[in-house]
Amino acid sequence: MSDSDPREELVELLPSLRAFAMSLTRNRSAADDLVQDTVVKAWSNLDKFQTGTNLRAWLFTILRNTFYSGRRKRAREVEDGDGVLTGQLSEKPAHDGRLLLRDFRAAFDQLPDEQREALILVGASGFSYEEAAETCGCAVGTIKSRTNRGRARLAELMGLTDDDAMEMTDPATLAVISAGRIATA
Amino acid sequence: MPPSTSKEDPVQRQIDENLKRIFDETAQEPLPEKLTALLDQLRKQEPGR
Repeated sequence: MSDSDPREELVELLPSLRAFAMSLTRNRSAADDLVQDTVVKAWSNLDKFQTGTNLRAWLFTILRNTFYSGRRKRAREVEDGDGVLTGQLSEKPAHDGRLLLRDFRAAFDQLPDEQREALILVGASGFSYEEAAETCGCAVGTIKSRTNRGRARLAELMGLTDDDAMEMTDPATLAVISAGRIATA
Repeated sequence: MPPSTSKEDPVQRQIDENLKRIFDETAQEPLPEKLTALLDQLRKQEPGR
């Protein structure tokens, strides 16, 4: 890696950088604009990047900073506080045990910025907690608690409980649980 | 090391699988033309480096 051209490495990172941008902006054209701005900045600052260090975290950090500074310039955005979307978005997970992706994305989009970015970095793009903390400029423990809160909130929004997950993976358990429900009804 | 997804927690596993799916939806798309054009332009700006 150390003797690879950071420019080419940067280009290889662009698909995942776009996916990160989508999770922040929740809007395709805004995401593409954000990636463009990030690429221009990163490209002109590549001489400041230290070869051998983490180009991915560096690049994602530039994108993240660009996103937040751009947004501060615009009007204050209404954050989703608790209670805006307390209801469940879907009745039950699909039959094959997979959540309906559209519902899941809608639920994800309701999460506060800091939970979305932590979840995407740690849960989806394979960042370690340390890398995610570096990218977001916060402590490792902060990233951990944001991912945990984000996962819990998604589980709540999707109406997922441990029981549901058990039911989906284990028909025998389902039978026992339904029998129990009937018995106690 | 990536944080291990807890095998004991099926809810978390499902959530992370779906996070990966929404992430991959975008990450697996080809880059938009505007972006590849920008890259070409940037490469040309730095001859001989």
